Amino acid sequence: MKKIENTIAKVTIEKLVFPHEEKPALKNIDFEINQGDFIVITGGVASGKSILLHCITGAIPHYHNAELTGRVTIMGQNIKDMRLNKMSDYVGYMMQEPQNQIIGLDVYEDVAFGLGNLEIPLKEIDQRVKDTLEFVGLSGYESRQTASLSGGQAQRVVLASVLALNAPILILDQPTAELDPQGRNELYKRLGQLNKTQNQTIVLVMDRIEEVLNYANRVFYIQSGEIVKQYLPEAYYQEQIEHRKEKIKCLTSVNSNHVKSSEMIAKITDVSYQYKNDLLGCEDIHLDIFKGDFLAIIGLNGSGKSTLAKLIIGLLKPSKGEIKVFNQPLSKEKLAEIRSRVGFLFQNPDYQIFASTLEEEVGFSLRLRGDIYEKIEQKIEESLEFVGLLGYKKMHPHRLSRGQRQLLALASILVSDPEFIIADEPTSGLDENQGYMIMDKLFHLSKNGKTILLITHDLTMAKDYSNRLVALHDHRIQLDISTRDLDQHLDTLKKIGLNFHNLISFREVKDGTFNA
Amino acid sequence: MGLSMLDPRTKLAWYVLMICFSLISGTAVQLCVVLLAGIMASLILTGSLKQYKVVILILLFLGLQILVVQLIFCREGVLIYQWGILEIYSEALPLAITGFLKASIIVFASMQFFTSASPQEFTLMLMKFKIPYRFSMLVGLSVRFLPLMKAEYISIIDSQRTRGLRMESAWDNLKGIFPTFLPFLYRSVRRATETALAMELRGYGRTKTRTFTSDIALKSYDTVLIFAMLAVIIISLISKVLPLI
Repeated sequence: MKKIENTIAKVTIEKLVFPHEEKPALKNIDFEINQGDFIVITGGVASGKSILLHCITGAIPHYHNAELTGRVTIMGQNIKDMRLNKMSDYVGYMMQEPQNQIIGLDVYEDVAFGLGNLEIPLKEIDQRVKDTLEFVGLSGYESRQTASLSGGQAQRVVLASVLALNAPILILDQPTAELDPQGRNELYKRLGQLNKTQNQTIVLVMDRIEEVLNYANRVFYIQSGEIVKQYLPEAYYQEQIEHRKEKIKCLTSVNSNHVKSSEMIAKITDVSYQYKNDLLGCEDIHLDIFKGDFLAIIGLNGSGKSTLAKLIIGLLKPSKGEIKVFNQPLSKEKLAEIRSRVGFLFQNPDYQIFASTLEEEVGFSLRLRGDIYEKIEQKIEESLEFVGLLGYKKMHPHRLSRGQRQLLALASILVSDPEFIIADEPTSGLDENQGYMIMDKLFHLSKNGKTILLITHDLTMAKDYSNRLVALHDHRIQLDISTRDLDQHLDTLKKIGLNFHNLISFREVKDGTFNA
Repeated sequence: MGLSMLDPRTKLAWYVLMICFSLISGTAVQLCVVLLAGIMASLILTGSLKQYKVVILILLFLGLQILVVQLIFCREGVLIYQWGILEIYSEALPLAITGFLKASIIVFASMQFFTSASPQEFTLMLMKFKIPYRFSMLVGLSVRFLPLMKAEYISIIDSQRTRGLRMESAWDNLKGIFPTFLPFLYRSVRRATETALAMELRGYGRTKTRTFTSDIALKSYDTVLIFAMLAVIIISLISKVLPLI
């Protein structure tokens, strides 16, 4: 009887089919959300996690057209009978890509947006905005222009805007995708507090297994649109950790064998960069990249990682210092030749996809170079086969999942056979398995003599795959070490917010929190 | 008195006044006086004309075009010069000057109006004109997303440049339209969809009214200025129309 009283939502979906799709996106879903639950939904890319969240919030069927067979009720009301703009009384929903959800020109205006729509008196709006900004760690940011926020700050602003609504259920889709490890820890800690102290119900789609499991009470694993397993967090963790340990074991043995080459790929001497708005990009950078390096550049949000990558490929021109790639300065005359030997994998694959088929997309750079048709065809096939997408070569790229599109972007740069690959947060927005898939491909390339420069704030990936770690802090290089010497530098790294102690440490601390 | 102290409706009245004068005034001297008045108003209220630097350059280019068109096609006045099929008439230059001045006043006044009021003020002004907030707030939204779209387009260009796409000359830029514009279009559609959903889920449009975090109210000097400007507009129109009756 008690359980019925506590149930605030009931999700029963027999089938959910999108127009022009044969396979259902969701099927056989049946679960209840109880007051005070902290549910983590996980699963592969395109497994239906976000679609399930859309169903709970009413975005399906009210906003996205789909045929839903089943019933989703919140507080006893069928969401089919509720208007979408009334859903804010029941759910606060934060989707992926925070910049798309920021409506106000300044932080205050954005957090107050939903409250204004609820016709709450101005005095109360003021108080709620102040409280929620304090909760997400953004006190004093009220008048900050939203266009100038970093990815992590934007994510917190959206979270504040959703939290301010005081909805009984908080639904979050990959809320930490843009945050560095420190930011992730803090956010999960705050959500845990909210759940424990205010009995706030939270449903969250998870990107990484660390941290959040400490605060969750249920884990759903979703595969091909179906919840195939429900776990207690401890059981899920044990299963995943075994899987990961196997991976680490086979990678570390190869990593430790790496012998430093004397052949220089890139030489960065005393480089600084300042953006037009006077923001500092990076300062006094000295870095030599050698052939065969799998170099991971790590650092918190805004430490200058991406700026450095863009400087190396010549997208930005240093304000001071010199960069040489393949022993040639990055001059206007040499840039095209250098770029033909370097591949740059962007964080968001959608920034480059424009063709109507995979093969057309992959062959783009070869056609620009004027290669002959037969050679292009052969290289396209090889690249697509390497990333496992050969079977889809006639398909439209946007029919692929996000992880597959990232693999397509990788194939698009591999087709030119670059000697040096720069990957800027290549696993961002991907689930763990897809992330490992991308990293495995990069590792495979590294083993075959390619030089890899990985920009990441995913410390696990950096530790597992690289043979060299460069830590940036406050726009400067703080540490440049061999990955095998990592243990000797853990405290230094912790001081700059890069806590490797946290990796694989679920429930190691007795009070259920981390040693952040 | 600073520009920020004026109500957006006062600024709108000034804008309408400037447009009216640019259309009513017939001589170069009158138009020069109107343009100077506009420039002086900006100088007094903001203390600088720096923000109009680009507009002035564009206007000079536009003026040159107007002059060339008038010189070639104007057939009013007496023929003062002939070289082959090119015939230049005496009215070409005065018409080019008045055309340039009219265009300058309209462009200058538009820029003055649209840069002097914040998006929030625009929204509130439209609300005072009884336009539902669902539409009024779109002004602020477009201002919010324009810089974001620009940054994204630059990232897309960067992404394609690293794949070997040249974007150095005008011809390169033309050739690069498909590989850069299509991803941009896809991203824009996706953004619009997600933004609209995020707004609905935060209760946008659930009731006819909403609480705004700021408000606008006409001060006594706003009222005086608006009435004075309306009076000038009406008198000018009457004096222009009366002789025709």
